[in-house]
Amino acid sequence: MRDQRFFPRDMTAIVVLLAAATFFAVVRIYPIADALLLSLQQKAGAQQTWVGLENFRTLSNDTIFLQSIWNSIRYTLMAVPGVLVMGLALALLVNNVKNTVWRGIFTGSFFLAYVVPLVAVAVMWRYMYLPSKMGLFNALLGLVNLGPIRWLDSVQTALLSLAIVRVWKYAGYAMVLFLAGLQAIPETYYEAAMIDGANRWQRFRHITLPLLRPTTVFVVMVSILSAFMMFTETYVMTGGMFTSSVRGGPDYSTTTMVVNIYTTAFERYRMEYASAMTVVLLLLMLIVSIVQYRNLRPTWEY
Amino acid sequence: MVTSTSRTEMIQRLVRRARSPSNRVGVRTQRRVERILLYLALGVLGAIFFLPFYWVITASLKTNSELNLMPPTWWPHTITFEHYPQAITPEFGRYFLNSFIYAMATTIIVAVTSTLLGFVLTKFSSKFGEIFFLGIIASMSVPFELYVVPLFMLLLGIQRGTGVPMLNTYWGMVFPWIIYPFGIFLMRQAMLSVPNELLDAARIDGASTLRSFWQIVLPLVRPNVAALSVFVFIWRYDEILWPLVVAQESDMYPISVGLVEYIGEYFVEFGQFTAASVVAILPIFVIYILLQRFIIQGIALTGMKG
Repeated sequence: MRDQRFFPRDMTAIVVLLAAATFFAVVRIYPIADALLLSLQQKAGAQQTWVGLENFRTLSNDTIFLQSIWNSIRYTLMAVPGVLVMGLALALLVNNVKNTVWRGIFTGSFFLAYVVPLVAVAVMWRYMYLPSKMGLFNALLGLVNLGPIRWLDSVQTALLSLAIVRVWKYAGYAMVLFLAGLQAIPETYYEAAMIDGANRWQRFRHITLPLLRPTTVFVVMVSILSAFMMFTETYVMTGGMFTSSVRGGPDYSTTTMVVNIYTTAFERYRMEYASAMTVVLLLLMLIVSIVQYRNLRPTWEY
Repeated sequence: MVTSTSRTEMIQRLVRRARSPSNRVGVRTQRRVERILLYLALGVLGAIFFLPFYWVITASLKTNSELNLMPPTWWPHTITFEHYPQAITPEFGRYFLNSFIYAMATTIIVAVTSTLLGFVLTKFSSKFGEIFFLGIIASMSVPFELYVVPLFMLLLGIQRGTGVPMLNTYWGMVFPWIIYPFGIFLMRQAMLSVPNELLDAARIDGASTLRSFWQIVLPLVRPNVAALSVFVFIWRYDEILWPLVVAQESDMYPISVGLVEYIGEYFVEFGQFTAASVVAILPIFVIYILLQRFIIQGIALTGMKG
């Protein structure tokens, strides 16, 4: 490793590294340590006092906090399979288009949703989810004499409505990764299987799926991480205009962990309590990473 | 299931069977039907994926009376552009400017620091550099959302301690991105493929370290720097949580925060509401149209996700 390096010890390089490491410590290491320390404190008047695990004890009885964990999990469980299945389906379809122009057009249009700003997307969907028949979805349901559904205004459907937005937005992202994965599978495997008389489903089940496993693992990991951290959809699409419920509502059904941390810290100004929540979220992320690493790592290769 | 017959022979037999006159017409019709079904499926899916854009763009062109019809009209009966000047107010322009300053400044800083560190980490030998890089890798798995509360406290602490304003400033917004682990990781990977022989040749010709970096390394990794920059710009333009925390007065809001606050406060008409979101999408849409292939390739190669 060392002999590959080109320049020997060099003062400028050391200065650059030292400066970078200092900044790294300030913006990436110190904040985590500070969150840990802050989570063990409480504010008493103008004074900070150490309270040990008191904040965590309160958290374990905080029904809204517990619900926010459950909401994040539910949201992830709703959105990630959707992104995965839709992304894979799109990739399989687009991969069969041999005409390069059409292939580019389809890839480009499915990917467009991923590139456009999430905030504007959420604003758009909010308009389509209008609870009255003025909304696009209720108008479409009206055509077949169904609905209207109170999408974002009902405890049953609010979180699901937000998950649908995510499937729409990130399916194109998953598709691009799956397309790259599909192209890495050698054509000869399929030819060999065809000679052996494997039908389309068998080829998909025994060649495509196992060989896509590394891509799938990556897409699942990235999607879980990002869905678990959901904030923007709730912030933009719930509360405020067109609705009677507050942000994160109705009845806390769209309050995810990050939303809860934000409101606790910046609307109720309880920094210590929000830090304790951050620490719990950090631990949850750690567990998720370890489980993913253990279970999703490819156990064999071709 | 490998038979004793050689594979070439089998393929030849299959090809012969496929080409036999009795089979030809059937296979061809089947292929054609399959292709039509494929394009049909993609067309329908494409229409579904495009529907939200269609809906919002047409809504922004409808008159107020038409917008309040129930059920809604499927296309604008009378097209009007009146909502656009209503939506683009001076406040809205200010949000746009803030977004551009924030996204642009972050992009430039990330590109500079990541490239420089990528160079230092790959071409200089130092134990310290290796430890630093391990820290960078480890921190990549911590989502930025976790940093929001402690980083806010940090800005507050700096502001109180030194008197330098941090909250409600561009500088405060850009601050956490000075060291961007993902960017450093990406540029390090890119620099690894720069051959040392080139640097050797430059040294023999008497080039200084700085000159080798500037004239040899940088031109070779330019596509990687460009990809990183485009993505950082798009992501920071889209970001809401961090700017929401730092920007406390409405004159510092970027478009993401502004769009939400503004529609909540002033826009009661759907026309303005939809026109504003169309305008907010426009810059990114233009970038996407110009750099579509480049952006998709970048994602496919690195799996970047903001």
